[in-house]
Formats: sequence, C-alpha cells, structure tokens
Amino acid sequence: MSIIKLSNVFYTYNKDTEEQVHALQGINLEIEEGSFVALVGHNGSGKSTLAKLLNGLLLPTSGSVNIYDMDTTNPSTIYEIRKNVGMVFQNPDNQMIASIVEDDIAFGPENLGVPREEIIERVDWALSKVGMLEHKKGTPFKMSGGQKQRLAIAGVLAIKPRVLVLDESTAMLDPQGRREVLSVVKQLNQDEKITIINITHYMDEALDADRLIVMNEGKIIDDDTPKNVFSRYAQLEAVKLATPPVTGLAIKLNQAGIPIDTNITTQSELVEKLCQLL
Amino acid sequence: MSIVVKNLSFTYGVGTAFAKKALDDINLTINDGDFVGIIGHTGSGKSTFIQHINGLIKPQEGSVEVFDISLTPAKKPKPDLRKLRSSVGMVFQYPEYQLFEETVYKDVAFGPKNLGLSAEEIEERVKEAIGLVGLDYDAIKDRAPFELSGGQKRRVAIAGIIAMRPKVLILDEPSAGLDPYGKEQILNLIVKLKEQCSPTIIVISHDIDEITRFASRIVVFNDSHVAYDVPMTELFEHQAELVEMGLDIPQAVKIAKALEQKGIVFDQPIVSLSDLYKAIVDRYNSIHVDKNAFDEEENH
Ligand SMILES: Nc1ncnc2c1ncn2[C@@H]1O[C@H](COP(=O)(O)OP(=O)(O)OP(=O)(O)O)[C@@H](O)[C@H]1O
Ligand SMILES: Nc1ncnc2c1ncn2[C@@H]1O[C@H](COP(=O)(O)OP(=O)(O)O)[C@@H](O)[C@H]1O
Ligand SMILES: [Mg+2]
Ligand SMILES: [Mg+2]
Repeated sequence: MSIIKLSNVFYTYNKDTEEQVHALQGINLEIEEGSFVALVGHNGSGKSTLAKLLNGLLLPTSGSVNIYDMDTTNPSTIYEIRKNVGMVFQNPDNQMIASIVEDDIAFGPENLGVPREEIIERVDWALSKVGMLEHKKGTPFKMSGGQKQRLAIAGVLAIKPRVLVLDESTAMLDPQGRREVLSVVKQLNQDEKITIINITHYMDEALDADRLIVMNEGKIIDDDTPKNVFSRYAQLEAVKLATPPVTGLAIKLNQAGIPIDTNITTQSELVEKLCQLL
Repeated sequence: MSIVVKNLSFTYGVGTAFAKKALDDINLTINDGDFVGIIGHTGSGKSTFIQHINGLIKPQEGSVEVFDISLTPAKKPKPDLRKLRSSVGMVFQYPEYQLFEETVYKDVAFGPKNLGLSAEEIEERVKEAIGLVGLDYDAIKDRAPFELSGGQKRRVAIAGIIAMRPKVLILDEPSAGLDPYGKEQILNLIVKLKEQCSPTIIVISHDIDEITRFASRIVVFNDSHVAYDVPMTELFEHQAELVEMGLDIPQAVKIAKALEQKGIVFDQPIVSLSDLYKAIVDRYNSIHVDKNAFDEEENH
C-alpha cells in the first residue's frame, strides 16, 4: 500500500520575488509501506525540500502531498502526520535538548501528551532499539557522533513514527558511527516495518535500499533498484552523481578492455570476477 | 618547518563535571610542503588539535610554533594572531554555520578586506575563489548565504578562506555532505591549491579513500593521542590497528587483501584505487599478451 503520495508537487522558495528558487518541479512519487528508499541528488537538487514536505514543515506551492491519505495542507491532521513521519537531520549536536539521555528521548512524547507510564516504556524501547539502553542516565554531550545520532533516532522513535526520514544523518559521522546508524536503520525497517527514506551522498549507502530515487534540479530522473540505477552510470555522472567505488573501478577496468561486468556493486563480486581474469 | 607542536595537552571544561581531555601530549612537526591527511574517530581530538594551530584555542600545556609565531600557555608576550591567521587559513568543520554576511560576495570578501587589499584586488580574488570552488560567480554573488543548499554553502565558506591565499591551508572534513561531483571538485581543488596557492596542506577526513588520493603523509588520532604518523605508502602495514580503532582501511587495500588471499599478489604497493586499477590492468595485459604470443606460436 502506498502511504506517501506526492502528485505533481512544485515548491518555490521566495515565490514572486527576485530571489525565487524553484526547488521542486513536478514531483510525482508513491512510497509503499515498509519500503527502504534511498534518495540521492546533487547539492541543491531538492532532497531536503522534499523531506520537509513529507511532514508538513513545508507546504507545496502547488500539487498535493498525502501521508496515510492525509493532506499536509489540512491543519486538522498535521499533528497526526508529524507523529507518523519522523525526521533525523545531519548535525547530531543540534538535535539534543536535555543533558540527560532519558530526558532527551522523553521530550517528544511529553510534548504529545503521552501518559507518564507509557513515556517510560517508550524511552526504554527506543533506546534499546538503537542499542543505547545502558546510556539512559548518561549525558549526550560526551558521546561520539554515532552515538549522538543513534540517540537522535531514538528521540524520533519515541514518537512512534511509521516513517523515518534521514536527511544525511550519517554525513558527519566516522566510519564506525556510520555503520552503527545504518545497521540500526536497517533493523528498524526489518523488525518494526518502519518505512525508511534515507537521503545520502554516499552511493554505497544507497545499495542497502530496495529502491533508489535520483533527483536532478527539482525533478525525479530515475527510480529503480540500486543496481539498475548504477548500471546507468553515464546518466548519473551527468547529474553530478557517481557509482559506488567498487562499481566505479569495474567500469574503469571495463573501459580499459578487461571483460568485466559494469554492474558489479560489491567487493566480493569484484574479487570473484578478478580471480577468473587474473 | 612550518609548524612545531610540543607536548601539547588540552582539557575542555577544566574543573567541571564535564571535564574532557581532548589532547594528551601531542608532538608533531609539519614541514613546509607537507601534504598531510589526518584521520581518527569522532572525538579523538582532531578538531581541537587544528584549532590550536591557528590560535583559536590557547594551549593549556605545551607549545605550538607556527612560522615565527609562538603560542604557549604564557599570558605574555601576546602572539600576533592577525598575522598568524593570514598565513594559516582554516576551513572549519561545517564552515557553513559561520556564513554571516548578507550576500555571498560580502562573505567571501570578508577575509581579503581584513587584509587591507584594494577594492579591485578584493573583487579579483572573490571572483577567482568562487570560480575555483565551482560556483557560478554571476549567479551566486548576490544571493543570501543562508538560503543556499548545504553543499553550496560549503563552497562559499571555502572560497572565503582561499581568497586570503594562506601559506598553510587546513581543511576540517571539507567534503562531508557534498555530492560526488562536489567532492571530486573539492579534492581536485585541494590538489590545485597545493600547487598554486598554499604549499602546505592539512586535511582532516573520515573518508580514507579520499585521503589516499592526495596526502603523502598520514596522521592517525586515537583517544586524544597521535597513534601513527607515517608516509601514506606505509598505511598498508597498519590495517589491523586501524580496524581496531574503528577506522576504515582504504577500499583498494581491502580488495588487494582479498585478492591476495586468493593467491593474486601484486608487486607494487597499493593504497589508492588508482594504484589498484593500474596493477590490475598491468597484470591482465601481461597475462593476455603472453597468452596471445603463445596462441600465435601454436598456430604456426
Ligand atoms: N530557505 C530557503 N530559502 C530559499 N531557497 C532555498 C532555501 N532552502 C533551500 N533553497 C534552495 O532550494 C534548492 C533546493 O535546496 P535543498 O536544500 O532542498 O537541496 P538538497 O538537495 O537538500 O541539497 P544538499 O545536498 O546540498 O543538502 C536550492 O537551490 C537551494 O538553494
Ligand atoms: N567545545 C567543547 N566543549 C567541551 N568538549 C568538547 C568541545 N569540543 C570538543 N569537545 C570534546 O573533546 C573531544 C575531542 O573533540 P574534537 O577535537 O572535536 O574531536 P574530533 O574533531 O576528532 O571529532 C571530544 O570528546 C569532544 O566531545
Ligand atoms: Mg539537503
Ligand atoms: Mg572534528
């Protein structure tokens, strides 16, 4: 079932002024419940704008955005939408509010008026989901980037969203932190069937998704399995993107006359192939 | 020698419950012409370290010498920070948070203006810097920085530093958050700047593959210490320790290692993907050419 539906969505910042920017230009998109979608696109292609339309932080200039059949322009259901669509942003430091972990996680549900008992349950549940339960009484300020970002995810989880939008949530992390966050996100998708939309500039992160959407200048220009999208590498390069590094190497080798498939995406595929050739 | 750091230690929040030792007895010398890559887990002290180099953080213990300027815990004599900052340009981690002027032009012009340059020279430098970072000067110069996308802001911030033409350029995670093309541009830009603008460059990055593209020396921070300081070509020898510290080893090293386990061993050292590419092509061609020669012989 499609739970997110964008029909002919346009978004213009500073409309009708000299500085107007047409950030989204005719987006049509449906996302199925429980899917894991990666969204890539050059800087300024409209990814964050699209993300902010999904929970009504921004409203479309024209066209419509429907989340679980609720229109984001309808003020009477906007809270319901915000509860259902959680957002995690890039900078972990800007997302912490309280100086004790459990207070930070409780903040969201408290604001929603969730009863005390249930808040306590939710905090434990959310922290355990991101593997941070033992840090419940700790302080977020002393944590590594990956830990802070997992807390940010827990904070969002405590609101019990059905959709999690990650807007470059791993961009500021070290490799270990990235791995931690990605594995948490994958698990939430698998165990809790939470729909994931992962906005990223790491092409190898996109490989984890079932579906890869490519944006260019406010439009969607490709939407397919990651493997298929990466096989159209010339088109990707034309819109300032790239393949994962392993695919890039395979393509270069192929161009040098070595008979190797250009749709290789993992290291083990590459190594296996090279063993036959070398 | 550009920079000499001796016994440098630093603790945040001294005397509070949140006290945190960020640097512990760091000793490091950066030579003129060095191209240094710094890696290390988040919180290992990288940013704290480089902020000492351009006088943003005053040493608590130990000393930092940058050209002829000496930074120590002593109150006097006061170091000439203005002079220091005109020779050491620093692109902060997430520099976009520091854009504050109302137009891109003014933001990039801020540094050169402080150097007391003429209006024409300022304009020339701003134009050049904006072009170098891959933005369209005419399209962007009058826009408000806070309205740009993340990647656009980053480039504007880098342009602001380049416009000062510093002798030592330090970049703290300059490509985080950029699209692949932007990353590529920034990496090429760094190489170009090394040749044309700042002879000594220090880059902090989480992306080891990126660092292998240009650095000739690599410094690894771990838990407030310098764990390694080695030529890039020796990085291969420290794989196990890097993994233990939660760091990545270069993709090319991983592939070469996996091939090695299958009996395919290359003669040349492999650190970057382009090393690997060359090694594979050479090996393939040598097998192929030999085989052709053999086939031809058989045909006779
Ligand atoms: N608050 C704003 N006011 C005016 N223009 C904006 C604003 N935010 C974004 N824009 C513009 O809208 C376009 C899309 O920006 P958006 O932030 O959605 O891009 P993005 O794909 O998320 O980019 P990045 O990869 O750099 O994060 C860009 O041209 C940007 O300059
Ligand atoms: N302004 C600050 N106040 C308190 N602690 C800080 C501050 N900046 C950094 N730290 C702490 O100092 C340590 C080193 O941080 P930092 O130099 O930013 O590391 P890196 O750049 O390697 O990620 C970390 O534990 C971090 O939490
Ligand atoms: Mg964005
Ligand atoms: Mg840092």
